[in-house]
Amino acid sequence: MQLRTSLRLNTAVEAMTHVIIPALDPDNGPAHEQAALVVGMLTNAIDWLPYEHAFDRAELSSNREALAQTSDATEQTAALIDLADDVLLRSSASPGDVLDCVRALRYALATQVDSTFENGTPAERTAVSRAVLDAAARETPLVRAAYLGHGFEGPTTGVAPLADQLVRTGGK
Amino acid sequence: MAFGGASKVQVYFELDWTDADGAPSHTPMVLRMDPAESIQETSRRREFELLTAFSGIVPAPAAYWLDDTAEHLPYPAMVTGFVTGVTKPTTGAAGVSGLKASLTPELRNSLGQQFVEILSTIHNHDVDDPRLRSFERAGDAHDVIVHHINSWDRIWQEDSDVPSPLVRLAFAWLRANIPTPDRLSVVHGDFRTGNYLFTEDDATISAILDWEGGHIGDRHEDLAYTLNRMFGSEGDDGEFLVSGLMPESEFLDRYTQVSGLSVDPETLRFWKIFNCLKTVIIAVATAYRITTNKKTHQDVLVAWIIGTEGVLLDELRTHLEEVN
Repeated sequence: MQLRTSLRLNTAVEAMTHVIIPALDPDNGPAHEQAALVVGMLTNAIDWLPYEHAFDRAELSSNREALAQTSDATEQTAALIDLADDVLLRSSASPGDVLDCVRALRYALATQVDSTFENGTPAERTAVSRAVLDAAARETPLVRAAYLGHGFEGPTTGVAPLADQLVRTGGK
Repeated sequence: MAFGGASKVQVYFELDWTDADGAPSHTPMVLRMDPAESIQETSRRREFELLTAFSGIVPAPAAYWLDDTAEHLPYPAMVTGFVTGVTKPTTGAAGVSGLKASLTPELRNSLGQQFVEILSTIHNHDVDDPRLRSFERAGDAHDVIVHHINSWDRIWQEDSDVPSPLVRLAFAWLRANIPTPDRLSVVHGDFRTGNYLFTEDDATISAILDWEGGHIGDRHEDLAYTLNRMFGSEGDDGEFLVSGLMPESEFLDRYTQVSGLSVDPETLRFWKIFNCLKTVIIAVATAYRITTNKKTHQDVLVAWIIGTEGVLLDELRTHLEEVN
């Protein structure tokens, strides 16, 4: 999926800066102030995005340490510390790590398509085609759902909402 | 600046001038100029030649001046006449770039007939028209298609940011299944509702727009493009309507009847896959690259078009399933 959040925000800032703000009534102070705040808010969001996950993990780690330092050694406290350890372990890969891995796998499969159609046997071509089409059958409903708000689906689209699809797949 | 379109900078203006016959004139015009980068890099010269060649043959803006080397303007540009009309009903809904426009049955009937007649006229036009002097004419029609595949593969490889196994599979299938066209035609390249103007009071097409992708090729390319589900909409009964005008079978029957040209289903399927791949490349690769690099005059609109990614990839997948 190519329309990442940072691109959405960047293009919104571009439109605000180069088209919308110059067109505002110069005497409308509140509109100029709010427009500048919108640009500031969006720019801050762009800056914040790469660090959000690491920030939350750092905060979680700090609170886990704080709770462990206290003398309250109840069963509930121990369970919370165990929970924090588990979440820290499971969340060690960042969103960037996940995306990089997706790209590496896609690159490997795309390269395999090229090489198989250049040098492979008919059976190998059939196999790699099947793998690609099966992957696309799993992925394209998710991509379509992710863009439902853009209005490019017909009124009778059969695409299930993204949240429902992700719940069904369990994020796998 | 004129509103509409995602590809070129368009500026409306009115000019007081002395026309070619020496008469004083007041003429509404449109400056059509490349942005720094576009979702389709095309030739203003060839677009200008097409407008000139089809002047008086199909409704199209008048072609006044060409500055294809950017001698007078910041980027390659041309000046055309301004044509009155709308790309979508003023009371109806439509998405960006006129996509998914909803037309009344009365409009569909009238515009649909003209739509087919104009496309037929374009496809029957003499490809050796001397006014089309900047167009490549390969000696072998097969080579024309190979050239198209190679050029879009290069665009994909230059513009894409994320590898796509599905795109690679589509290219592999196309290379292995190139048809042999029975004749060459002028291909408009972007023939759909949203890319023509019509006057609402008499339901008449007043201009065919966006000739920038026009070339000499296989007419099935245009037909398949027009059939793309992205450019159509659904009628009241839920049936898919080509360009929001008529069902696919009716469109192809009418085209065959009016043009006198045949439609080969296998060739049509090839071009459906080709066009679907082309639109995927524009959305996923080029639109992504030029908006990421802040290279257009309307990045937010071009980025919005990346949202066609899901529908287009799924259509490409469906086509490839049919042939695998």
